[in-house]
Amino acid sequence: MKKRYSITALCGMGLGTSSLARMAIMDYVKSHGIDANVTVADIGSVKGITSDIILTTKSMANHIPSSVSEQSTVILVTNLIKKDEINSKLDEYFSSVSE
Amino acid sequence: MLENWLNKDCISLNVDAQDYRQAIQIGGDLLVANGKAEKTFVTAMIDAVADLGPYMVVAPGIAIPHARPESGAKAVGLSLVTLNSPVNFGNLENDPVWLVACLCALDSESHIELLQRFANLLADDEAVKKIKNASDAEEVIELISRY
Repeated sequence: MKKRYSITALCGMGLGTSSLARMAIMDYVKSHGIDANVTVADIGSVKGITSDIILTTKSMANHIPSSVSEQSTVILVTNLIKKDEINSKLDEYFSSVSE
Repeated sequence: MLENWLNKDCISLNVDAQDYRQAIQIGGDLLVANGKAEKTFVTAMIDAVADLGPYMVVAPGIAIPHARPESGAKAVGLSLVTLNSPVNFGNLENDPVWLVACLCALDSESHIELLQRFANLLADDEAVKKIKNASDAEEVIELISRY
């Protein structure tokens, strides 16, 4: 059975920045035929995240406790407007898990 | 379409700001003057950078400050400020910032269409260049109405 991935877009409030990230991730999974549940979360609830992937901005990195980053693949990006960076980092992840 | 959320009175071009706090204050004051947010919302946007970090600098030169709806948001809306001299937010990759777009949201859903359309605009290099060079809010309205 095809795996359903869980992806969390994380930011400070779970409103603006993470919503931008979620849009880019949704475009990616749709165009690649990947089955994924893409949600947003704020940093206050980071400890409860158990997703396959947590995608967030570089400046959020030091807010993520190691107990969380040990369980999920954390993808850090700097540009949420141009999709290239998010796309290539998701490419990297999905090519590594499909091997 | 974007003009539904970003009206002429919420645009201020080629403004002088000393630092990111002042830049957000200017953008936030536009939201307050247009009845879209309480003053507390402006303070919360500034505090968010100090407390949570400069993650709202979403691309080189571009910041989208925002705060939680309960901090005093009254409507879904956007303000747009361009700076004469860019300011640093403390974001190593994307500083300095010349475009500050303060965002008001009422919940987790109702601003998504606005954000989607605004992201499409910001992904268009030509459009961004026009905003950077614009001196009249009407020019910006004409441009954003295509998104």
